[in-house]
Amino acid sequence: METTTQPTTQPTTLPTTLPARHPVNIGHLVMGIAFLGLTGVWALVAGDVVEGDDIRWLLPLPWVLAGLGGLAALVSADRRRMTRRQTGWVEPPSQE
Amino acid sequence: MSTSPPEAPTPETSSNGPRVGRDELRDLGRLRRSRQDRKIAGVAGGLARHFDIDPIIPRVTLVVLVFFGGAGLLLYAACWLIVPTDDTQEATVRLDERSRTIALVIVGILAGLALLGDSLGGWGFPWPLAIIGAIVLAVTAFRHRNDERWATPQFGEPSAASPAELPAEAPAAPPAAPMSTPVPTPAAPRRGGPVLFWYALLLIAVGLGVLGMVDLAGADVADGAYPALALGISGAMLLLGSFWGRAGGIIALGLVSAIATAGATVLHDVETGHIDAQPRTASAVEDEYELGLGEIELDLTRVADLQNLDGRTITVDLGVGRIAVLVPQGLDVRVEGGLELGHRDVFGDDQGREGTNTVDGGPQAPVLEIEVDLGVGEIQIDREGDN
Repeated sequence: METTTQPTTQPTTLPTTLPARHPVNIGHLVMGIAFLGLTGVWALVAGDVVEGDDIRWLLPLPWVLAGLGGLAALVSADRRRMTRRQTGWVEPPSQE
Repeated sequence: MSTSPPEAPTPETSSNGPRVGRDELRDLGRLRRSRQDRKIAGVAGGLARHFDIDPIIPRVTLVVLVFFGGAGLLLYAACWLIVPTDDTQEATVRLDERSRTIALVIVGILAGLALLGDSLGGWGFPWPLAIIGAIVLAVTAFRHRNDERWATPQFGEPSAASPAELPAEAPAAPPAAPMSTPVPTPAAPRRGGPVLFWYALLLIAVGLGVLGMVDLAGADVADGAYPALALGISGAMLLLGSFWGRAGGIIALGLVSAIATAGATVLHDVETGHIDAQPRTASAVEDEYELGLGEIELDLTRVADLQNLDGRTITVDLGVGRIAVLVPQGLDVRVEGGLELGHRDVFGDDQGREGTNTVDGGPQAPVLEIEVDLGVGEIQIDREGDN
């Protein structure tokens, strides 16, 4: 006797609801901001816009900006993950 | 029962590894970066294992070579990029063994040129050669990737495709079942690894070339502009890659550029040369003589109005080199200061590197104070006629 099994769920509906977005690479973001900042510092020093002791407080600035950028990206990624976790496997009622 | 020891040496399988032969030393394709013995990227650990020496030797050698035309930096960065790790066999820049050996030899020659050029003082780091080498490396690696992508699939081997890429309804076949007719193997999964790195490298090469042309055309281009351009491109590509992905290897590129930028900027700011001052009047005597690298010679014996030097303080500040001061008779001189490393001889006193020395010019003689500050080198201060 042949029996046929009917699929009880629709597995193809789940992936379409998830956004296909590349997660931000925090390490690359931080180093990217730092390198661009250091380039800016070099430009200021080479252009004689900043001289002498002013260079000393300018040098940590790229790293502070990079750290802030990385922190912002981290918080943003965490919030997005939290939102997704709360949505879970339940489909929003508007799509039914 | 035999009491004699075994004659043939058993193969050494301890953690120290077997002794390596000459042929193995020459085979640079066997070089791997060490995962276990690493401080930064495992390059020195890998070199130590390859040459069967203590890891401290390549570490110290590389650090020392950094200060000779950046040869150590070049070697380290190149090995970081093209030498695979010993566990995953993955490298930022994937090359086959033959290409890697050639690339390592080219890098070795470039490092040798940088070392030689710096030692002889004849020429600086061969940037044009380095850029050509980088482009050759990029093209070779790109061709190698294409060759791998279009390589003939091997029949009778387990498929490299992930289960997710196989059709869902396909029955699970025995993994090594021999097939009578060639069946096309499913395409290999998309390779991971850096993509933006190559774009960054080529952009840097093009940018440096354009900057070089602008420089040769007569525009005022600072020395630090070349590595700063590479640094900026690395930063921009990293920023792009942080959102888009596939930006591996660019951090190493940026770090090398950052160090080179800092080095070029600092070297540009260091004043080098030779100060030979023989003032004829007290007003011509400056309050401060300062130099980064070189020699400062100050001869005060020709000053006609010594009384106008009374109460003045002359500062002589030098980073690396030699300070030589000759003071005249008839002047009370007080010398203060010294040096970090080297030889200090003030009025015949050559004991110690710091201190205060005075010489009496007689009653009612004007008083002059000399403050000397030297990093590394020699301080020689004498009074006219004392020798």
